[in-house]
Parts: sequence; C-alpha cells; structure tokens
Amino acid sequence: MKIKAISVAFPKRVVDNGTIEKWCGLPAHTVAEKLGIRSRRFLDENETGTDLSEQAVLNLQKENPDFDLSKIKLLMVVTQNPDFKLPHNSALLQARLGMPMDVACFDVSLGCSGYVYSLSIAKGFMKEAKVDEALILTCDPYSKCIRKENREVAALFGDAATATWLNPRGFGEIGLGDFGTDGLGAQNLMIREGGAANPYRRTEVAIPKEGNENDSYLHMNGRAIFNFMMNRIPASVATCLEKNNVSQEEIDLFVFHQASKYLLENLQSKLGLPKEKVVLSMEHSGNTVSSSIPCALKELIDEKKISGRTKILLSGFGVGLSWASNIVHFNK
Amino acid sequence: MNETEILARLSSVLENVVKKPVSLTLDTDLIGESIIDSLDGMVFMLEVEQAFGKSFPEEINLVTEGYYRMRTLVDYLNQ
Repeated sequence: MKIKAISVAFPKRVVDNGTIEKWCGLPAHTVAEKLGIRSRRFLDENETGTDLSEQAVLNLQKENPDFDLSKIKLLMVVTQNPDFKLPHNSALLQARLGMPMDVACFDVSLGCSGYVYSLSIAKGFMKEAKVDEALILTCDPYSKCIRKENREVAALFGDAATATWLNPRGFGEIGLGDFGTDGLGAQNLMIREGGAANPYRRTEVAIPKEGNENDSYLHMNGRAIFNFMMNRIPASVATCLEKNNVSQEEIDLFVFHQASKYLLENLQSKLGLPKEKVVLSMEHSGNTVSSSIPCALKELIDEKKISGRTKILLSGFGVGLSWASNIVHFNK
Repeated sequence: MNETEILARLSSVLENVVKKPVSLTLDTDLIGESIIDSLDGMVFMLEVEQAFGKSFPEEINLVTEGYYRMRTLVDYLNQ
C-alpha cells in the first residue's frame, strides 16, 4: 500500500512570537533561535479540528483531480482533541464530506507518534479488509488545550490538519514499522481533567474538586520529554533500519516529528547524521503534533526534494510516552 | 573538579546558551537576577547534564528546588 498524495490545511489566524512574548514573557528571539519557530497558526474560538480536517480534504481534491472521495473505504482520523468527547471525528467527517456509508471510520488516539502508527494501521487494515483506497487525516489542535501563560508549551505548538491518500498506485511504499511505549512517563505530557478519572464539572454550581485550574490544560515536563526522546529515538531508528534491511547511510532524508529545532539538532548530533539530511519544517507552523510529519513530507514534495527513488525515515514520538518509526520508499 | 573549575565550566555552558558573556559566582541566582529566562533555563540545564555527564531527577522542579542558584547547582554537581 502506498502514499498517493498529501495535502495540508492551516488556520488563517497567525500567532507570532511577539504575541507569545506578551502572553507568557518568553522573549521572541529566544523562541525563534531555540525552538526554531517564528510563528504558528491557531484555530479561532469558533473553529474546530473537523473544520480544518475538512479543509485538508478539500485541498486534496483540488490538488488531485483524480481523487474520488466516493471510492474511499477507510477514513482514519488521528487526534486526541476531537470536537466532542464522543462521537469520533471520523464519523462527523464522513457526514460532512458526504461520503458513502460503506466506509470504515475510526479515530486513533495518539499524539506525535500517531501519523507513523496510522500508516501501518492503514496498511494492515487495507490488506485485511481488501480496501484499495484510504484516507488518513491528522488534526490535533493544541491551541484548544494550552494555557497561554504556560511558558513550557505556549510557544511550542501550532494547529494544522493533513490528509494522506493511500492506494496501491501511489508513489510512497510504506515499510515495516518499529513501535514502542513507556507508560511510566505518561504524566510528563498530560491533560489531567476531562477523562473518567477527573471529569470536567458539568454545572455552574461550585463543586469542590481536587487538583487545580491548570489540570484542564496541557502539562509538559520539558526536560523529561527531551530525555525520553534522546534515549528512545536513536534505538527506534536503529531497529527500524534493521527491520527494513536498510543502512543509515542509505536513508536520503530523516523526517522526525517536528518537536523543536533544539531537540532535532541534538538528535541529529546523537545519531551522527549529516545536517542536510534532517528535515526542519516548523518555522511557520510550530509543533503541530501528529500533523508535523505529513506537513514536512508535503513541503518536501512541493519543493521537489522527493524525486526519483528516495528513502525517507519517519519517526514520531510524544504523548504516552509513545514512539514509532518507519521507512517510506518513494519512487516519483 | 573543585568549585572554581565547576563555575568556569558552567559559565562556558551558559555563555553558549545565552550568547553573551557572563560572570558567575557562587552567589549568582540565574533566575532571581534575570540572567536567564525559562526557555533558556531549560536548555541550560539540559546542556549542563551533557557537559557534566550527570542527570537531574526528572520529577523535581529545578526552579523551586533552587538549582538555578549557583551554590546549589555547584554542590549538586560536586556530589
């Protein structure tokens, strides 16, 4: 099963580093230099992830006249910030996009490793259910769950949606993935409220509750996440290369989850990779969670950096703590 | 390493992070004296871990535990 095309959609609202500085006091130049982010896009208050996901699909249609939504038999949405607690975004999008009812729809609850996971899930599902055409959507609008005064996260994240079209006639063959989880680190990237363990309050009447007001927003232990990535990802990359019988030198480009420039530079150094092989693509989008890898791939395709035979190693890591690596063999 | 050597190394690490000359003494408080902001502060501690080959416990808050005060930091690195 192969990647046929990728499209992206960004919200209209641009949030620059000057605004971030006003929100939380982080100097704009430090954000640009250390995180590699100059601006990011946020959804407006009345917009949701399905709005942006729908736009990504419309862009896919516009850019690919041969794309026929009625032929899609699998629609998967990677998100942990759906429009509603239930139902799943993929069901809402099936209706909004006017898709036939004979389509399998489900959401994948993963963060920054979600796109790499979803490629393997789709590949397996398509083989098992004899599905020829599939669509993977990613959209995890963190603007909805970050507290703007929180310096650990306010500057880092941005919103984006992507649509990846898969079929047997595509140009990006999905390899064998490596997957892993370290649930002991789960508390290092967490929203404590909103689940069954600590539900949101449902009335205006004051109800005594444990925790504090920040529990309804994203909490991130930046140092712990950095250490997790630096410890886990090199091993995952090595296992992935081995599974696919490919050497590190044979990989043309490395597309890691676009966590931050600082992190990717450290990862590049730890893996001993040439700088030009490590894709940096967060300058005007920020860390877009599960959308960051397909956004980077789309940029490479548009800039014609994927031509002929190109082997790209993808590696996503984050919430869970979870990670996934895979190799896509492009032939364009 | 003695305290003077540790301070010299910390100065070098810090200068690389904030991109300006700094002068550290055991009484310096990086956050209290606004020498470093929170993002640079996190990067500084990650760089200190690499430079000294010693990790800080992940579960503690380095700000509230006083690790940005050079006396505390030097004592920890000297252990």
